[in-house]
Amino acid sequence: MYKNFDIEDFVRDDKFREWVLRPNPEINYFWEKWLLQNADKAEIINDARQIILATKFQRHEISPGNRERLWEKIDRSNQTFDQQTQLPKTVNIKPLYPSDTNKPDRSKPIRRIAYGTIAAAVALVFLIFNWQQPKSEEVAAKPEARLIVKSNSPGQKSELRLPDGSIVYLNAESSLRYVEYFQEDKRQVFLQGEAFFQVVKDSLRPFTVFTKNLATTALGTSFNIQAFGEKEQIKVALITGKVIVRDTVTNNSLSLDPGEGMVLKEPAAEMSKNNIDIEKTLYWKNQTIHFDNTDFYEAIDYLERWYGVQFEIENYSQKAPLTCSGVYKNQSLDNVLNILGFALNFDYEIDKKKINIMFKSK
Amino acid sequence: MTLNVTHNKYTGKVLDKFTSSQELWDAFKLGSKEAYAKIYEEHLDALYDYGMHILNNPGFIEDCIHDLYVGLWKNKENLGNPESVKGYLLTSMRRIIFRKVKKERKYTSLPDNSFMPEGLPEIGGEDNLTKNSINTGNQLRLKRALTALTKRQREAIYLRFYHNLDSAEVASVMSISLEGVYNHISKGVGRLKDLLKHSTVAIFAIIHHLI
Repeated sequence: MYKNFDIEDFVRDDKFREWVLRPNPEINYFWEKWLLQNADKAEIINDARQIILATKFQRHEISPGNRERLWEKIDRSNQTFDQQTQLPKTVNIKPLYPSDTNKPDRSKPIRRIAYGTIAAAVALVFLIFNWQQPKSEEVAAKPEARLIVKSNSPGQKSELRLPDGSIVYLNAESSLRYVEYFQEDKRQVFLQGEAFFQVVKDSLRPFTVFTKNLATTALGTSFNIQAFGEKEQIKVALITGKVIVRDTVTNNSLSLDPGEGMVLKEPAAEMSKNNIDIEKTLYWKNQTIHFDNTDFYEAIDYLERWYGVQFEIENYSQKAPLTCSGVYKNQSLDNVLNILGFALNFDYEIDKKKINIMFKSK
Repeated sequence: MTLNVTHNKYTGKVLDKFTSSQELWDAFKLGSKEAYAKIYEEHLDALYDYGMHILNNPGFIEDCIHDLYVGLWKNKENLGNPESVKGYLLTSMRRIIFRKVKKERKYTSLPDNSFMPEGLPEIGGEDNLTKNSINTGNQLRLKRALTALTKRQREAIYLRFYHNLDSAEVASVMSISLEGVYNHISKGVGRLKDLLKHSTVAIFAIIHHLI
């Protein structure tokens, strides 16, 4: 043992570290004897000792009081979560499509859209929701049907077909939950993140997308929902068709016509209507990144989601906040950063999924 | 870390029924609060130390640890089976810190002086270096040497030598390539060796003494 060790092996070896850091007669005896027998290793041993001594990092210890408090805080948060999730794992309903019960997974992402089954009305709703549970009163909570969860990690997009045949394009870092079979009188899904819905027309069964405090209901339409980050605002934008957006906290509601959008700046805030740019709203779905005087850090968040990477920013010390503008269709991250870096004066390194941005001092 | 009293105080239950860390992880994924509490207790020190090295702000780091563990609990059904729980947690910790820094825009950029050696400011203060070796001048040189490395070299060395992660785990924690890790560590160790050349006296003194 130890004969073929190199410096790094010694540095990491517990017994060796003990000798260097906490010498005692027993361990001293062991290593001194070993050294006598392996005098040719003296140099390696010395280097390893030096490295261990040179890499004694500062130690940070949490105080016992804080340790306890932190645990209690975590425990409280978990209890709140556990209470919130007494949600419909299952819903007791008669399957609408009994013949389909054997089909292994009808919600699997699909390549092609069966346009024939989709209502003629094409509407688009653009929402930014909070990443929270809907209020439980909104939800039918009876046992039985399976809850299906579809999640995309950063950098991944997918296309799903819902039990009623509606199509959902799910953006990166987004997830959609719904029951295996919709109920007879309603279709309900729960969204975190961003998605574009093409809803099959069915006037007897309204289609509702839930988030923390918004319910967006359409009959037959197609719409897009985005809901990233706990503190971010909620936006709804309708392209064609008609939807009703309801704040489930205040019970305020608003109906949107094509080309109209709605912004909810924070929970229970006033809902305000605005006009939307349909093309820009749909950029994400068409593999296009679009920044329009976007705050630098927002742009970075967006790129992280889009490409599934992580950024580290060094030397960002601008007096005024930086903004980015530009449209990048089907571009590699390298290209996007190249252009941004030129405009904003930074260098960058890409190492696998880690991107390091270094602003140049002027 | 062995578990007994420490963990019991959180859950009031006996926890030593989980014999391997894999069993512990599985039990946690199935919703066992005891297993979860044990994982918290087992890795808290490492996470706190690592976090504080990245950003020296106790409140902020505690918030990050809170978010990390609450996130674990929320997603327990969907978690995979990491080869090393510690590596997995350190990876998440790092991600959460960077994310939160960005979200809160509290710090325009992370400090450059992270992963520093202990006791750098007061020179030769407490002497817990080995008895049979080195004088204060040497001690100071040892401590100074680390500061000559780049931040990333120090971080890689910290994770590899101090937390005893293997290179692949270091790569995943820092989300860089394996080559990147080799590079940082060999360059860092090489630089340390250069800087410490002059202190080789110590070991030869020992050998000489033995002979």
